Amino acid sequence: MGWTVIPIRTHVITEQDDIVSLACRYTQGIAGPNDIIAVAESVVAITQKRAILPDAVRPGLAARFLCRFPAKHGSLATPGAMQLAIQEAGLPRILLGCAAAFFGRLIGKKGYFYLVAGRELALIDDIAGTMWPYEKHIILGPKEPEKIVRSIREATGSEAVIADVNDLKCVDILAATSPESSRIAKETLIDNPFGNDDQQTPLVVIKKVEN
Amino acid sequence: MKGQEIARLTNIWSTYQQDEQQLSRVIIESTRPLTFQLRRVNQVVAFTIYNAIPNMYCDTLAIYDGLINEITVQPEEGNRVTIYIALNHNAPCTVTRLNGLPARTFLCFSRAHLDALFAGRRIVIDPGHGGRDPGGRGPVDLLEKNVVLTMAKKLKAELAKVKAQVWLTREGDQYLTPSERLKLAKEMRAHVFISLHTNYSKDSRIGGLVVNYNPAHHAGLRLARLTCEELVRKIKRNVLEIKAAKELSGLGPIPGFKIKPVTISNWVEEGLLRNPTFYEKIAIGVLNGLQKIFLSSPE
Repeated sequence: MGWTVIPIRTHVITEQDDIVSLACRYTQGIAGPNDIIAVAESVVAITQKRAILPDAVRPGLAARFLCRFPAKHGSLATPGAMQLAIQEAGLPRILLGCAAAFFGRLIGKKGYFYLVAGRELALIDDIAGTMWPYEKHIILGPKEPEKIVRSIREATGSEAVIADVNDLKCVDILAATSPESSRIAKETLIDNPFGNDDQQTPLVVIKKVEN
Repeated sequence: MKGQEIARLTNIWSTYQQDEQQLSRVIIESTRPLTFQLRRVNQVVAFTIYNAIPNMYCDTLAIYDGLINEITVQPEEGNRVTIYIALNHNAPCTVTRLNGLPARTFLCFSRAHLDALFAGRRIVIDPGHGGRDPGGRGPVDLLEKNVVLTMAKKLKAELAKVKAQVWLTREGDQYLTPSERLKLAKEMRAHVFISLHTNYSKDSRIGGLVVNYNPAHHAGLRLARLTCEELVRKIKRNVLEIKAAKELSGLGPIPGFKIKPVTISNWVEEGLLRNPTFYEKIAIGVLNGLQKIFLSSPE
């Protein structure tokens, strides 16, 4: 037995949508009880109204100052995104994260900021980090991903995962209905079937097949 | 037919390659191999699939890859789905299939007409600024002189695929005077001169694209509009301005354009310039514009 990946093209998902209903509708007749429904974390966040226009954010002095230090291709390079990170994690944790990042630089290690300030901050997509029409928004990570995957399993009968995948072959499973689903999703989503541009395939069925 | 034999359509996408094969391809993914019929009405190919229902969303996909304009997926009564593929040229089509899960059906269209149109065309691309002149600066850190050089190299690569002869006024970070930039176009007797820049505004909320044209060319405005239209289709930015640029009149009768696809001072548009696929879209948008220009003025 092996696993195959079936990406499903959806409409442009907005805050008007309910992610559990979408999972049911688009995977109907395809995903069975032994299969896994994988959902891209950014669309879960969008349906939770966590896509925020920068105009709606008032960056404080701390955000304006601190956004100068992260990598410019990273997620917290604009004052708006840094302000939202401060609101999510609190200024003390952000400052501790900065101190850890500074220490990491001294010893030549990356990733200390998120280790201390919080993994959820790594899920923030800064302006232009998501496909049209959400390129004007800052997208925060999804809330309560465990609850969402459980609801998808109840509604569809299939296992479910929420994943953050990029084109650099990094797969981060935010929540899964079982450890086995998490392991299989981590292996099978490595080529980023969600796409990184206009693909519109934020739902993927990972299906068990005979080799 | 038994219910379980129905094919479920899951995904449709398009890609192109301009190597020895020169193909635009539409790929349809489904849970079973498809039964289909192919018809053609002028430049529209209708691909009707029988005993199939769409699980995927059915809408119109804007492709504009130089051959395929749009793909429309239309569910019909009686478990039928028709996919209409609108082309800009009456290109031959072949269908191949790959079984498996998902099963893939490939509709392949020849792009050979692009070679015929572009072969022998001399195009000079001028990446603006350079050296001691950085041009505009984005709110985070990008510099105009660097991003326009990346744009120019990407555009050169796309034009080389369709056999155009292409020169860049600069290949690295060097300063050139305005007359040095125009000189190459005149020396090469270029069919078109394209100067790449980004727009800049003190107001970081302003975003969009600007196209300037050589007022000394008799159809400058019309050709600039064609270029702008094609670029907008690919990069989905607002048009701020289409305007004559006096500095291009030194080109004389050569059609010349200064294209500013985005406003670098805008937070969102600077962010878009960090995405490599955005440069690809700009290059294809300009290539589509040139295609229209060459079709509308053969010499």
